[in-house]
Amino acid sequence: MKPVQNKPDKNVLLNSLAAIHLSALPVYSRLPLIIIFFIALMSLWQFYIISENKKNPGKLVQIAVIGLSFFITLYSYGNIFGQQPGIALVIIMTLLKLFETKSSRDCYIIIYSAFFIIASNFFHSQTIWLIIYVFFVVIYLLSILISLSDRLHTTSIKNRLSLSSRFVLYALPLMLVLFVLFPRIPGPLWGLPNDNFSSKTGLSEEMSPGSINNLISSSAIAFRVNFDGAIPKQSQRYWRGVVLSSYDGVTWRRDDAPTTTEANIYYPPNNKKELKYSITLEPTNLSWLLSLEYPNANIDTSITSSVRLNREAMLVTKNKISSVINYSVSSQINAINQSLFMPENLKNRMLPSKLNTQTIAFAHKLFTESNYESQRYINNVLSYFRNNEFIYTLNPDKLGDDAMDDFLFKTRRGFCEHYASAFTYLMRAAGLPARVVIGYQGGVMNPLDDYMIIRQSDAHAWSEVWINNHWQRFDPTAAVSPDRVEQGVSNAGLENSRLPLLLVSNSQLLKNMAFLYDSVQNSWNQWVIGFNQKKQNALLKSLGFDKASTSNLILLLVIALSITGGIIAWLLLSHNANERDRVQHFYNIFCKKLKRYGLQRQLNEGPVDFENRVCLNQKIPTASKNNAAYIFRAYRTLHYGNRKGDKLNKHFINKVKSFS
Amino acid sequence: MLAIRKNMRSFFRLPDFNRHPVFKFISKRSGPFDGPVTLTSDRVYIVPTKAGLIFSLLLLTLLIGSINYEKSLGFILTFLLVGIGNILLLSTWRNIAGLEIKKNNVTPVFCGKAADFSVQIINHQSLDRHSIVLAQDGIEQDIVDCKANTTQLIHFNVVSKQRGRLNAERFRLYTEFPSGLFVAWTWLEISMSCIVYPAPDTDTTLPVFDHSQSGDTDISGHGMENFSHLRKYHQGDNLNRISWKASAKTDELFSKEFIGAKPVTHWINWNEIAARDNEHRLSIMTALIINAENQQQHYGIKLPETNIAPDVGSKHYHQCLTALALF
Repeated sequence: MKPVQNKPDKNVLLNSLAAIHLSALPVYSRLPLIIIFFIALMSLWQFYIISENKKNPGKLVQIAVIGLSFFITLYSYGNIFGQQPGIALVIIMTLLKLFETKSSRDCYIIIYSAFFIIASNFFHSQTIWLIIYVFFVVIYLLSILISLSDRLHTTSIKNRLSLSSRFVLYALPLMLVLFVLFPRIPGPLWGLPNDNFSSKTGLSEEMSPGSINNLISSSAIAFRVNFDGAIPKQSQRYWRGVVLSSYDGVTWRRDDAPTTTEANIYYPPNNKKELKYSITLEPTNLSWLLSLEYPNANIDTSITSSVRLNREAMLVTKNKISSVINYSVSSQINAINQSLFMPENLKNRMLPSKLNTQTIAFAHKLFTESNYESQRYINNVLSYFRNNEFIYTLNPDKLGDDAMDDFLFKTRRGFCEHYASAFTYLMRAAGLPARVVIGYQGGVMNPLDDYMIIRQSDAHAWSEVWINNHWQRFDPTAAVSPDRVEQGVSNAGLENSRLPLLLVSNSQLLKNMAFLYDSVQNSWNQWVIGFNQKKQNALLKSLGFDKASTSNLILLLVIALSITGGIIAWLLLSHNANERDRVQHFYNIFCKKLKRYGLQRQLNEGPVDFENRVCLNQKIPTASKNNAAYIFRAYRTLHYGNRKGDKLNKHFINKVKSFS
Repeated sequence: MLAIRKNMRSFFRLPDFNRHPVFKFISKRSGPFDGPVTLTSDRVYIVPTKAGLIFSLLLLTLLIGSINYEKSLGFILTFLLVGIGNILLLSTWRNIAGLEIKKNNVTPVFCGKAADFSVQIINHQSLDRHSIVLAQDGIEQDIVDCKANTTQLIHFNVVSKQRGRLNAERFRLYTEFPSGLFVAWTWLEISMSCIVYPAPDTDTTLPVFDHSQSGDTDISGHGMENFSHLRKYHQGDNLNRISWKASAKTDELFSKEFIGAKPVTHWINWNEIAARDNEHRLSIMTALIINAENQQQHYGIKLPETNIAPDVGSKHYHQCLTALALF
């Protein structure tokens, strides 16, 4: 008799160990080194115990290890409740669960945790590659489920994998229907944790020398834009991001005083200057959106309720942008930003004391020379940049404590952050309210798919100065390198070695392939990642429902699910169509064919008697008789014997079909 | 022997809930059957296991997480797993549905020993079946795989408690393959019975037959007659009458026949056996029969209402024991 056992065997345990690592693999790159080291150590220990059939460590040791893992997490993150430490802890705990697997039930817990770990990957990345990888991991996890339920351990790993990939394949249509038609509730259901889980390259909320320079080598997508109508010129495409108004001598920072004041923007009633576009923004982990100057406060997005135009004319969101979002904006180029409130008026003139005395003296001199006229002073400053051999470069020299003095009068080499910073400093030194704005400048159209791509390398910094009772944009970089603004960063004469290969390459093929790849990415973002209630409603309307209500959606979902479910069930269970019935079916066809010779099978006549009659019949040619004999013999074997070969079955059916 | 494991899942321990009048319709479908039964869709039930319920909790958590964090790929993973759950439900069901169950012969046992019942599982389809478990009263009895288009025996043991006819009770045939998230099962009662012979009495002093003399002992009183001829050995012939000399010359065994020889016979007589009660008497008779058969003596039994004429051999042996079992 066969042994009956329920303790998971060595193979299942080793597979579970592998499964944990496979599901956590994409997370590993974001975990602190010490945790990676701990996980590796634990895994080696597990591997040793399992493969050498050693005893699991005792309760006391296990408790000590659990305590240690909490300590390490606390040590490397400072807390254990955030998202990132949470994920790290789940991975470690799942690993430790292997220490106390006594029955197959414990293995189920491990596999469920693995599904959980897989899902946690989506916090960081939602690319096509990741989901393809996830599908393979799911297949692998399913194969472990199969081996858990295979009590006699008779299936091979190949069997199991092919079985589980078939399950995934069959599940795909159901998944698709649910994805499209399951009613989407706009999230979040509760507050999102605010911990910074992403260390992506991208803009931040501060600027010091080098911070934008660092982005230049990244060809990562910042966002994509679909214009609905006219596309503004390159030199007008200033994608406004965050306003930085406090300066400590090195770093410009966002004014972090919480405000509820709305912007005071005048939109002239001239709709010709209105630009309509929708932006698909990659996650920034920051709580503001990008737009051209100046957007209407009515932003159409899935997170509509929480976007507002604050007094700095920034589109601020309530939560950090942690996943790809899509929003539609309409901006008016000629809108005038008139919001200068008391605290800003002061803050935007403040400079750190006792620094850059040379610069301040220079500003005073220049301002006096300009007859204390703001506009003339600004022009003079810009001409100073233009006429004194300032160089736009990716490799600026290091600046000392008096950074502005060093830059303006010694090194004169800088990237956009240097120019924006120095310009704003000079404005403030003359008593004009001024501030730094960072965002992106430029963008390239994808010729294959009519949308604009803005990369991290398009990051830019410029200034805004309060003159004539409104904020006006000035870009000192343009004074030094007009090409930067008019033709984009790749044509600004910068050192090529640091620019992304994609931007500087002359190969048209490479560029086209990059555009094609990006088109796919864009569709993925639009239709998969950006699929939300809005898109769902639009889809419903296009299907002819005049009202996109949840009840209609559910109705549609039920119908679609029953149809796909029915088809899949039929496909799956048609295997079960009784083979004996099929044999009978073809025997009946054969009998029908014999009617042509005037032979009718009696109801009580078995195949042997009938065969005898057929043999004695004179009308049937000998060749057919031989075939008939074969069919009778095969039928008897197939119908009455227990063992039935697929081959014989096929031969039988073929013979019946060809019989005449 | 079977390694028997208590089944852990609690609802397996309620084997008889469908004996309740409310579930009579299930009882009707579950037998008893005499002929072969095909596990049609109305006989196969399916529910999620505890692991399956936890799996649905996992799905719920993933769904809520996807909504909250607005992760489209979270939705994809969740819905993929929902789809897989449905496929696994169907696959579990089809792992057992469509099988044909046929009864098998049962070997009689002595009282106190385990009766080994078995049924044939016939797979008419081109689909391999895995891990089909037979359980009775919540105890797993046997697990088999049944490859496409094959027949497989599945066993269950029942310890016999009294002589007579032991009927096979209802059993449960179930499977959790291929995931363990669902269990598909059927209740079956197949009319099979095992003849349970009385347990042989161990205290009886068994008669020793003197083979040198080989004479008819107490009852018929005849001695060995004159040798007549050799004939081919038949099963059940007295070993003392085998002509070893003759047999050695050929490959076959020969028995000596004697003229006028009447086989030595022993009567095992109900009335002559002193015992505490009838059951004890049957036990003693069983012991005597076994002894006589082992020593290849001709024996017959006399019961109050039936007599079985003296003979020897397997068929006779079982006939006698059956008579005792059913007395």
